[in-house]
Amino acid sequence: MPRTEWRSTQSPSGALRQLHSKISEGVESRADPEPHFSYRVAWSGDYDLLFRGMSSDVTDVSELHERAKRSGRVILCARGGGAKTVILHRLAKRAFHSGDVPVLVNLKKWTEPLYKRWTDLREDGLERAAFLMAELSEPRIALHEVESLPPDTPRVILVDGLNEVGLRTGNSILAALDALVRRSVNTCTIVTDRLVRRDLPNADRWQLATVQPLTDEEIGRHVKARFHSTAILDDPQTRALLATPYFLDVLLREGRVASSGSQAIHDYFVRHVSLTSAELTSASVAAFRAYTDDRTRVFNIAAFARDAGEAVWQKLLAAGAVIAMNGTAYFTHHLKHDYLASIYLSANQDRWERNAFGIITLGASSFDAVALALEQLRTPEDADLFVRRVYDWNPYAAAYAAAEGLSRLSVKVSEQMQVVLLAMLGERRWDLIETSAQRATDALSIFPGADARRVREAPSLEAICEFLRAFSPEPDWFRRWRDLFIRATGSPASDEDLGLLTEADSIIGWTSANVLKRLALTEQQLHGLRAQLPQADPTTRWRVAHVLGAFPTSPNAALLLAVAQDDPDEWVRYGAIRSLVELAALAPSHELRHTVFTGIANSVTSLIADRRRLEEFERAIFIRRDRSPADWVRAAGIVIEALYNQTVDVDRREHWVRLAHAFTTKYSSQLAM
Amino acid sequence: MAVVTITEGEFRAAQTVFGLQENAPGTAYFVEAVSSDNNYEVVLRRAAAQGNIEAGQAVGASVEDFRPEYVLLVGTAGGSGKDHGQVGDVVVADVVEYYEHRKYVGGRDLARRTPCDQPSLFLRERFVEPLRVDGSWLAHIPAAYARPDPGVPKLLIGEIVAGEKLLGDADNAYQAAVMTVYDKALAFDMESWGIAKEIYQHRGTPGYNPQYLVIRGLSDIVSDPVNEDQRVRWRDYASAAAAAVAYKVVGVLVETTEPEW
Repeated sequence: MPRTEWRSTQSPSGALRQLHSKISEGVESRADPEPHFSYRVAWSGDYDLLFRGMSSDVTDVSELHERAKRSGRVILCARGGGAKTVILHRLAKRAFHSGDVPVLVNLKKWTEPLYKRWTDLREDGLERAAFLMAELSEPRIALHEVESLPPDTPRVILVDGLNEVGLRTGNSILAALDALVRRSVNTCTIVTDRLVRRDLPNADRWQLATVQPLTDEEIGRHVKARFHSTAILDDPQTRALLATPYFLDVLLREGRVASSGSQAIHDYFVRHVSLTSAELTSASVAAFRAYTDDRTRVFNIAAFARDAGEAVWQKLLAAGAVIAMNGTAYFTHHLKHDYLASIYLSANQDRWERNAFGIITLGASSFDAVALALEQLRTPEDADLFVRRVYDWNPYAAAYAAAEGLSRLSVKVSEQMQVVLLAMLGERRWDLIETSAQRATDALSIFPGADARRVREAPSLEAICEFLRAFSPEPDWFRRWRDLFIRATGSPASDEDLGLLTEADSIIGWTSANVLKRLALTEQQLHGLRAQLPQADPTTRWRVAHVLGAFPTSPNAALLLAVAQDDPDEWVRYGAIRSLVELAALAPSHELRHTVFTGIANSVTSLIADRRRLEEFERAIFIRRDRSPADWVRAAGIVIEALYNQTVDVDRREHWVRLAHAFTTKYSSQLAM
Repeated sequence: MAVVTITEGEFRAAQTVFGLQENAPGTAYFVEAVSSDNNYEVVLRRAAAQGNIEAGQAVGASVEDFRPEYVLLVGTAGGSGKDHGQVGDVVVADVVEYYEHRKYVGGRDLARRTPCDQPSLFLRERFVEPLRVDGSWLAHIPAAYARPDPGVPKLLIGEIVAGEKLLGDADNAYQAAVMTVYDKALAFDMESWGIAKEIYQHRGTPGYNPQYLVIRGLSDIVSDPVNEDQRVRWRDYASAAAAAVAYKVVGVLVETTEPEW
């Protein structure tokens, strides 16, 4: 609903005049890039619709500000290079000229030390919003300056690059902005982000928009003006690439048609920055290390110059590829930094592991670097292996990287690997834990093509197996994987099946773990798994813990409780807590459920100290409502109560109260029983 | 002005007493008549459910949507029996406390405090106190809300203590401890702290000075052995009595011009 505008009889104050001149300087100094592209945004009611590409309407970008004024909050999503920043700057200018006060907050300038300071601030006040403005607004404007304005002066807080910070920090920034909009008079916010599902506070008050690809007409207009011909657009790969504003801009500036996104940025570094092949390699090492050391887009100049070489640094600076400020710097577009880091990643197969993936994506916030790395792999074998490794780390990232490349027709991922990826995501649609099922559906939604749609809409796992049977059983690895995946639910598991859990091939290893959960295992086989767990390597331990969660017995519960608390590997502990919740949900009796949750509650101190495990627990207890046992609130609630009782900090206590509230609300019908 | 209720019964009583029958389309708000400029003298809405969080959310939404100068939380509560408070009486809070923040350490039970706003002195002194004395609010209890037993309700002013539990068991050790610590409390509910905290948070912005009141009809006495039956018998009447007090406060406020500072 439209919000009532605050009216005041006050005349414009000195504060307004002062701020006006400061903002004027900032807004007018940012020239809209030439040539000027026309952008459109599509509006979706929620993330489900957004990921499915379904929108209620498509509008001009000026509507972003209008809707923000009405509902208070807008998130503008786009893929990398989608012109989010340009759009936000246009909105700032427009708002300013219409008499509103725009404040631009640039999250690209987030630096590593800010994480600590951010988490030290109270969660529930305006301290965090004030911090964002004090540290990252351009020009620098303090929250209290804005609040000193006459109440009838509309203010819009434009936050650029939510994906530039870690996922958790990004969500807490949204909470801070939500509080600001709720509490501050006449204030609204527009936040740019990647296509990432967020936990929105006050979800029904956020409007979601997506930047649309440039139209063929728009692309054609600019290409014709630049080259006096549109012949290059006859190539579908080129047309697909140029629908992304960044790459159309690169084409118009550099004058060369690239075969892929990574090629276009490569051309930029070679032609515009004049980096040699060797220099590009050293810059890539420096770029990767910068992400490693700083965990942000902003990096230390001295360290970068040391790794890349002073000459390389000077070339980057002279070409305007980077912006330096007080001993630190950042690339003018994050895709440039991502590309350099991706060169290092694609060339170093030994770094195709979760740690490196976490580094290069800023903690799973931005997957462009992974997509760019995938584009650079020349053979289907390498591309497939890369996708497998990424899938092991984050299925959504694997889907994003493959989908991005496939939509630009620029990756070598084999058809079989695409099918594997789709099927494994497809199986997750029926995951007991709601967020897992949701993420899988999201990942399938961004995947182009009829196969992805078929898997996304398949009515059952059996339908997905049927889909797989239609593919030729070649090569051998695909046949082996498919035979494993399509095993009938409830059929007996063989000892050979159990042996697959130790497979070095992650696709086979994890598929076997997933498939075993739906097969029938004897008590003897379960005993064998339990006995195997302590001696196995971390990956196998994780897989075994994953399987045991599907078999709700007391010995499994006891072992998983011990593993969740004591295993030296954090991912094994993570897997064990998730399996414990699953086991409790599947348990045939309240007693076993009670045993599991009492066990977790008794070790709540260690749970609190283990952030990854704790967050997984918080997510995992939100199981599908239609599969929740009647005593779910009563059983799992004791852990939330223990967490609350163990917490002294008032903010954290409030967090547990809110979790308990969300939890009991979701399963509220149980409370009436 | 925003009036917030919690239960369906409280909402219906307030709707009846205030005559706010029209729903602003697509919103949770009820108004006398829908207006195109979205400006109303009084809006009424329900919280999504019982509890301090829901109450805070409903108040926060009302504040964001309308920036009301006054917010009234109207409904029922359990009485302590202090100050001769009886079922059907109405308590207006002069102070709101929260009993849940405690730390158990080394055999000790320590209270922990978090900041919250307190009910408006302005509203209590200028509008509630006169009503307490003249009883003019009684005439606004609708006839349809019959008093279960004969008698005349009183308007009391005093402490209301909020928590996350519905108190109603005289034998419960936790309830007994709460009543011992808050020995002056006139009523206990599950929402007052939500509004107190939410309004406090809206004080972060200069230029906006929201005032709030908590008005609670006593549907039961928490330590009464027949507490549950009592609540069922009296809650509708208690809701209407609280709404009548709120209506009278709002009526006077609407009639009165803005105070000259």
